[in-house]
Amino acid sequence: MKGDTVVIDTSLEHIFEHINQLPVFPKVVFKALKLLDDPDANLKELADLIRYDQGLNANFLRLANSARFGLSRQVTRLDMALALLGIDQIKEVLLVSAAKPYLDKPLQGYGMSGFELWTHSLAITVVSEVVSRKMGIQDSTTLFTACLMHDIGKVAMNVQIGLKNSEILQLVHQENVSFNEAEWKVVGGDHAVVGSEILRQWEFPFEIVRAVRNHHDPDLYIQDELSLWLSSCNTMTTLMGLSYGLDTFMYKIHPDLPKKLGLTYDFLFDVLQDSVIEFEKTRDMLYL
Amino acid sequence: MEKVTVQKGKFIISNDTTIEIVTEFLGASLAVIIYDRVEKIGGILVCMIPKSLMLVMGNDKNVRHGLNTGLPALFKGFMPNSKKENFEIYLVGAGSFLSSPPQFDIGDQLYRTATHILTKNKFEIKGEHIKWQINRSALLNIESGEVKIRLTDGQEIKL
Ligand SMILES: [Fe+2]
Ligand SMILES: [Fe+2]
Repeated sequence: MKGDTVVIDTSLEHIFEHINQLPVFPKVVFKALKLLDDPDANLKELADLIRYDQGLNANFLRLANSARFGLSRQVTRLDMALALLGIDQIKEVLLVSAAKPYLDKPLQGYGMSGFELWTHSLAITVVSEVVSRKMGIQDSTTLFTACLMHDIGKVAMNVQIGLKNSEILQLVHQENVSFNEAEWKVVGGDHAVVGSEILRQWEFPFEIVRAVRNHHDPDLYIQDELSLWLSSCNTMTTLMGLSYGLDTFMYKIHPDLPKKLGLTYDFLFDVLQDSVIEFEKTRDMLYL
Repeated sequence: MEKVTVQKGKFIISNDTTIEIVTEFLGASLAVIIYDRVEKIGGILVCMIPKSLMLVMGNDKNVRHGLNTGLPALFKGFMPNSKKENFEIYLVGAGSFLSSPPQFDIGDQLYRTATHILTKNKFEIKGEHIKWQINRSALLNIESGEVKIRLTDGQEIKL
C-alpha cells in the first residue's frame, strides 16, 4: 500500500482464492431435491428438512405465494404450501428460495442496480420453463437450475470488474470482441468460468457446472445440449429486455445455434410471446 | 407526472395531457410511437414479434399483438379524430447482439417489418433510436409530444 491508496488485487487467482468467502449454497436443497425424486416422497420429511434452514423456510413461504405458482389462496404454513404445490413447483420454489440471498443484490461493477440481477435470473427461469414445456424436455429442473445460477460468477467478480469495466468496454468497442472475451483479456477470466468454479465447489451436478462455464462461449456451448439451451434461454431473456448492465447484448451468438436445437422462427416467436406473458405473473416475486 | 406503462404486445392511446406513456425496457422489441400534435393525442405500441401467432380478435386481455396486427390496430385507434398528415412517428428499440444468426435477430426483423409497413402506407418516420447493443425504454409526453429514451443506467436522451 502506498500512502492512502488501497491496492485491490484484480487477478483471477485472487478471485478464485476468495470464492469460499461466499456462504455455501444450502446442502439441504440437494437433499430435498433427491427426496422429491423418490416416488414415495414424504412431504412431512421434506417439511422437516426445509424447516431446519430458517432463511430457506422464510423465503420458501414468501415465494410460494407468488402469482407464478397460481395458488388459490395465501399460504402461511409450510406444510400447506407443500400440499398445494406440484412436485416440480416445490423444486422450483426451493431452488429460487436458496438462490435469492446471492442474487437479489445490486452489482455496481457490472452496472446493475437494485434487483436487476435478480430480475434477470428469475426471467431466464421463466423462459426455461416455457422452453421445457414446448420442447417436452424431461429433466426440466436441470435446465431451470442452470438458468437460475448462470450469472453467479458476477457476484464474485463485481468488485474487480468495477475497477476495470471502462477498460473492458473500450476493448469491446475498439476490437469488436464480446464482453466475455474482453473480460478474459483484461482480468484473465470471465464470470462464466468463475461462476462454474463456485458451482463446482458447491457440488452442483457436473453438467450444470459445464453449462455455466460455457454459457457465453460459442465454441464451447455448441458442444452439448444443456449448454445450448442455457445459452438460448439467456439470449431470449436479453431479447425480452430483461438483461441489464454493461454487458447487455455485448455477446456473439453462434451461427449454428438454431440449427443445432432445431429452432425455427415460429418456435422462437412462440417462446418469446409466452415468456413475456408468464414473466408478468412472476413480477411480484421480485419483491417477495 | 403520472406514467402509464404499455406491456409488450399491447398499445395505449391517450389524449390525457397529464400523463406520460412509458414502455418497459424493450430489449429487441420495438416501440412504435405516434403523436398527433394538432389533437394532442399520443400512442405507443410495443411488439416483441413481427407477426401474431394467433388470430387477434376483440379485447381479450391476453391478446398480444405482433406488428402485423398491432400497427393497423394502433392506427385505427387514432381514427376518426386524427388526420394522417398530422402524425409524428418514432421507432425505438430493436437492440441486437454483436453478431447473431437471423433467427435471434428479432430487432432487425421487427425494424424491417415496421419500416416496410409504414413506407408502403406512405408514412414518414420522424425520429428513431434503434439497434445497437442497447436495452432502452421510451417515454411519450402527451402534452408536449416530447419523446425520450431511457437507458438502463438511468440516462435519458431526448429524441
Ligand atoms: Fe452471463
Ligand atoms: Fe445472463
